[in-house]
Amino acid sequence: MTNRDATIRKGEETRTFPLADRAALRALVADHLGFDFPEVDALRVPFVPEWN
Amino acid sequence: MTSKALAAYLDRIGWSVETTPTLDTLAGLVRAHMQAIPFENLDVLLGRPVSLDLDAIMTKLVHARRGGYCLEHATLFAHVLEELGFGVARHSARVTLVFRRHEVGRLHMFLTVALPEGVFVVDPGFGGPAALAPVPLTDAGLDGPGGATHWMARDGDHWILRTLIAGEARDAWVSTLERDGPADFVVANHYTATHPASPFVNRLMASRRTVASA
Repeated sequence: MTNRDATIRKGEETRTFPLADRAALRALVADHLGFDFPEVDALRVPFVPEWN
Repeated sequence: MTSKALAAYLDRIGWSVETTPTLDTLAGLVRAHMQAIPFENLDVLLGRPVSLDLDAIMTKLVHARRGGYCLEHATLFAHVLEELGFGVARHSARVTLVFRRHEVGRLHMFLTVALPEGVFVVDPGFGGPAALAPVPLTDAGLDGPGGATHWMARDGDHWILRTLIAGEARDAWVSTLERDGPADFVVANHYTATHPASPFVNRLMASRRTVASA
């Protein structure tokens, strides 16, 4: 995951997609990183204007 | 690291087999660590301090089942390996995937481990471009051995981690292999977590290597 872009690689297959919003980020973190991230609304990412 | 902390760590990475300090054990631990503990910089983006104190890293990466960046991963993994009887050295490197070596500071932390088979580079906190296995510290040249995804190349006083990205061999980081100490990593950590120009302050970065992607 880099900023709002998520990439999932399975073998030779690569899928990249933008995260729609903070809720999508929280869901991705839970599903792929393995923990809940309830503080997602407080996140400040300068390179993502809508999340800054 | 206490035996209780070691047990909690091994449970966190799902490692319940051999822990004698051999190359096979090292390779298994590196892989299990990287598959269990994600790379991420979310606390930096919340304005929270990042501590390299072992207790703080245990609380975050092991007990809270969170992830961290290179300095947290490598610090934790060094303590684990030392507790198991491995000979470990801590080093810093300039990451050169985006910038040239003279444009970046020595902000990346990795380890070398001495074994009867030789010295191996271990880099559990490099995120997506990281090697899932120990990399022999031998000069394999710019093109590397056939079939390898990561290898080391010598450039005068420097060692370069080379890696294949989209089929192209690239410099990942460069290091003098000087042994660094806690004060060096405190400085690197302070810049990484707080400087306005630090990529970790400006970008969201996260990854985890799963069994399927390994």
